[in-house]
Amino acid sequence: MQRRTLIIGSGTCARNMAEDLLSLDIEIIVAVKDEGPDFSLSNHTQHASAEVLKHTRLVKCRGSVGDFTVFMDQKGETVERNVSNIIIAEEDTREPNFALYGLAPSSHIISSSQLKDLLNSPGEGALLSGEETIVFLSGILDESNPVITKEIMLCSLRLQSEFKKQIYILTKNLKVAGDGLEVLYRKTKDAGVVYFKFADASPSIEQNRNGRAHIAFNDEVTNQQFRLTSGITVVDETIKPSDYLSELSKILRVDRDNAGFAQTGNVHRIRVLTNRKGVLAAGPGRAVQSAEEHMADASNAVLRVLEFFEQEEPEAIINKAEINRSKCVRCLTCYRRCPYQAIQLDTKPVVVQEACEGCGICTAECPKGTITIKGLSGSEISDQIIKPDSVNSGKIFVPFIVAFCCRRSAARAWELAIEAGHNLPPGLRIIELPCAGSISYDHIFAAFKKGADGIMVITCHEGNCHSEKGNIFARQRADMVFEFLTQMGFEKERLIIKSLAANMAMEFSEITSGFEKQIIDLGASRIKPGG
Amino acid sequence: MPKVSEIIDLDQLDPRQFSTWPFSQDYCVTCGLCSSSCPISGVDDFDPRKLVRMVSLGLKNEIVESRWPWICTMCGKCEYVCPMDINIPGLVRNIRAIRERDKVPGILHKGLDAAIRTGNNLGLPKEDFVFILEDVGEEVAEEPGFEGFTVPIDKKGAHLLTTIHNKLVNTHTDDLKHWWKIFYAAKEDWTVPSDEWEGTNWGLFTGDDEAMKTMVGRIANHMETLQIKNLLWPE
Amino acid sequence: MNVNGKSVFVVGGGIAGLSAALELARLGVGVELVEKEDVLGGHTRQFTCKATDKCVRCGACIVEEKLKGVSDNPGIKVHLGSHMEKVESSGRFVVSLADNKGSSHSCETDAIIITSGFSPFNPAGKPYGYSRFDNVITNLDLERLLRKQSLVTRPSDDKAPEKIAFIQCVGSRDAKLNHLWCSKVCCGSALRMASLIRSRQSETGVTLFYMDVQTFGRDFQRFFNKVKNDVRMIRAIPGDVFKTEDDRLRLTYFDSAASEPREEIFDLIVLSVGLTPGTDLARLVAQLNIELSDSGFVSTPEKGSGTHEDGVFAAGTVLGPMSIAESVASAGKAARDVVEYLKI
Repeated sequence: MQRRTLIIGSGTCARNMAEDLLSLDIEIIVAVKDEGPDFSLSNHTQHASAEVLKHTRLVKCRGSVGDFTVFMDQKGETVERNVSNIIIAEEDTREPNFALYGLAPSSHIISSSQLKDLLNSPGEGALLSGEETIVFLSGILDESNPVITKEIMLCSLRLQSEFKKQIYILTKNLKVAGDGLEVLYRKTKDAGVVYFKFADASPSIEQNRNGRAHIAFNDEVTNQQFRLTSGITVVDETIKPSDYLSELSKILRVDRDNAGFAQTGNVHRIRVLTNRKGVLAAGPGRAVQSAEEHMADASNAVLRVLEFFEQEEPEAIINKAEINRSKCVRCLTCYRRCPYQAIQLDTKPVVVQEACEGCGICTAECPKGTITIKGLSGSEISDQIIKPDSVNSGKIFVPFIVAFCCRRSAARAWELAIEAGHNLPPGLRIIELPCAGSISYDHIFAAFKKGADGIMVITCHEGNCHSEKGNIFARQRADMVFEFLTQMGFEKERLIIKSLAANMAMEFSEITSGFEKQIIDLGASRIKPGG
Repeated sequence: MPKVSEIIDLDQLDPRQFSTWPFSQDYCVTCGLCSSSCPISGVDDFDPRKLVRMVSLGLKNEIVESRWPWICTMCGKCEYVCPMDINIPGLVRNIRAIRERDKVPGILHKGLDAAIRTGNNLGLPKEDFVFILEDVGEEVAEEPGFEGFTVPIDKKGAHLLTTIHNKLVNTHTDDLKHWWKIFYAAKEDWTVPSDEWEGTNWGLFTGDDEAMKTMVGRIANHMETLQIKNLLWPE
Repeated sequence: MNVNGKSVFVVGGGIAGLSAALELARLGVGVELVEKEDVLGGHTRQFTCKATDKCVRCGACIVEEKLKGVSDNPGIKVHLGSHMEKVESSGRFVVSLADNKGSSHSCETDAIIITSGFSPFNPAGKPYGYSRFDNVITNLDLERLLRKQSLVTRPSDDKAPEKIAFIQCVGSRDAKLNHLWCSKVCCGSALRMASLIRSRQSETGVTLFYMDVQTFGRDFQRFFNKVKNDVRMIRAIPGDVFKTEDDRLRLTYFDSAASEPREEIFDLIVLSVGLTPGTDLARLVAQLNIELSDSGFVSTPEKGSGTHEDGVFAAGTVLGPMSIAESVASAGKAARDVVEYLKI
């Protein structure tokens, strides 16, 4: 297999990963959407080559982990390459918050990036030399973050000590949750920076006809009113994914967060994973974070790539899905449902074994039942549904409860509950599923047919599902069964769907014991086992 | 809620005005712990955090004219709880020090003025002072177990010199007896000066270092003149 | 890449140690994981899930799959109830491991990763009555409580509290204690737990006393807007806590808006205590020639994961306050650095 990785991006994170992968004998292609910085990558070995493509944007991607074919546009020409992994490390953008504060940029109202440029350019601009006072507006209407705060503090430190300006920083909550920020905060105060913080009220901010900001506010500590009509006003910025970054996620079919970054907040993706095997999100492509965090991402992404090439045995044996081509009617439901984008179209859909996570959503969703995963068939599941001995013994009604448990959350919580010695219904039988999304009507009805008095479907919390939507599909399935049971004249209360997390042993005990009580009230199921 | 001042232009502000003051006042994170702990927070809208902030912002006129620095009892609880280790009582004292002396609040000013002129806050003449001491001394001698008790005044070469709080020769003369009985029982060789005996140094409260020095200097002088090596200054 | 035959010691079996162990084992490196307690999992294992109707991304649950991963992995040898007694470095490291029962044995390793974690600040010295009043607890105590039982009750009488107060920044952002840092995770922990309690126990009111609310997670603005409607936020740190005659707690704070001091009665007070350097650091410094930074955490001179001693790396909260996700990332960084080091 070729050892080649595509890195999309040109910042320090991307360059770091490029160098690192090369040192590990892994070929790299770096796709930079514009001219980008100077890429002087050392060719570490005679085997590994490095290709830097400038003015190159991704337009299409086919294939799966280990075998991606990427189509890129380079100044109108199509460039096609074959790679095993793709790392999205595309730079974010800074949107100055002029509009947010009701201001328009002018010679006296600038953004923090403009200020940085001024400070770093030779001859620092007549703009600064005329003014004594500089006011920073940060995190007043929307909350800020430590990355922006650090920049503002560093800038103000320079302005105060080198340029002898008087700096005022106006903010709501001062963001110091970053390494060294409390100390930096103190340093700025040593230098003479003055902070005004607001709890609920906000300063009134207007723009004069001469383009200057007129800021008036009440200092909440002294109840003294202040105003500023002169000096320079610096507005902060919001860090956002660039349009290209958002586009990349769509092209590569990776789930995005609400801001548009190429990774959701799903904890199973920690640190650089996406929903798609072989596609990673690192640095500025992944989230709003500091330069040090970018570097940590780089190391983690390299590890993921290294592991892909080096790992001899997979950590856990996963049973993968297979589509029976002859029975498949090409409805493309599986293709659309697969959360890992592990199904490719080759006239008919085909499961890419490398990318399949064995969640079973496709097997449950397929309207024709043409997809199989070892261990998940109706009969295989049915075989596991055995009444515990305690159910048969004695005259007291011990409900037979079948709990379909997601192996990542509910089943783990069950194990912890046993370890902790929590109360569990004696008639409880756990059926472990790779994902709650793999539960099918067959499974549920098999349980009833085997004599279950009550059935539980226990999923991960919304947003916590490794398959991102498995719990939602499970919920849809359950809702359909509720409907069906009602029409049948059967107690729909015998089916329940709940969510919990892997670390909540007590909750597992509570919900199962609670359900048992409900079933005791309902009495034994009228469905006789067999048939 | 009373305002500190009319609306202030940030351009006119000089926050560096008090930056050389060594109380770490600029490190304030406005957490409010000082104000939450201060026993007189809320009196006349006072709270210690306001003072720290006003100094930090360089509001000189406001801070000198305000009544707030004079309401503070300098108990030190604010400093004890402050996470930035700001010496708030020290800050308060410094604010007091920069006010013109004749604008220092009445009783403190009058008392300190009297002390500088006469040797004690009350302006009590020497004969009256000695008379009171001897009078109280006689009352002690009448109590069983304290026969023969006398008050040693200006005793040269004694082991211990002690100062007197002015209220003890004014409204609380009975309280003199507590110390004296202890001295007597311990067979302590003690004495008080007949003049410049004042232990309550209001220069501490008015931020008047010169006055403080003068009054301390007087006691030091007594120790030299009377050749006494030990000092008890119960303030 | 050839790391065959190499082995690495990971000192500390919390989230960072587990993550580092798994990363290295996946690449064929032999791992010995040393943990001083009798169980793996560190602090993360004591945290509760804080999901209301959806996951709030605290990351606590991921420790469970890592625990399973480590126990299922034959390439990771776990030493519970053990610590390093002596370390000699001459090319390789010769480590003498001692267990709590007193027996010790010696083994060799090629590199060491320190993931010994943090110490939660002990607030007994603060005027809030911790360790004197039963109903003053820390946020860590609350995590453990909620993990064991879904509804909060007061330790003194097991009754549900009518009013809970959270006090933030206890032991953090404190120059007097020499803790000049923000502990980063306490705002997230407190606000998520506050939100959880409000959703389960609507009769219980929650007030949060803060200095500056820190940003956490991806959708912070949305979460914050919601939680502000549910939790009473007061920008002041309380001064004193007294116990009342009817076993409640009287708390004093300064109301900036009204410019007035206030006293308020609560039933339960939760102190959000900061992350401070771990207690094992003095011993590790002596054993390993590593250095500490001004704040007392392990110093990494190059800003990577390498300490001052060759072949000794560090990851997780032993380096300073960080979240669960950051600890995992930190462990990944250390694993990468170790792999690089082992190739030499």
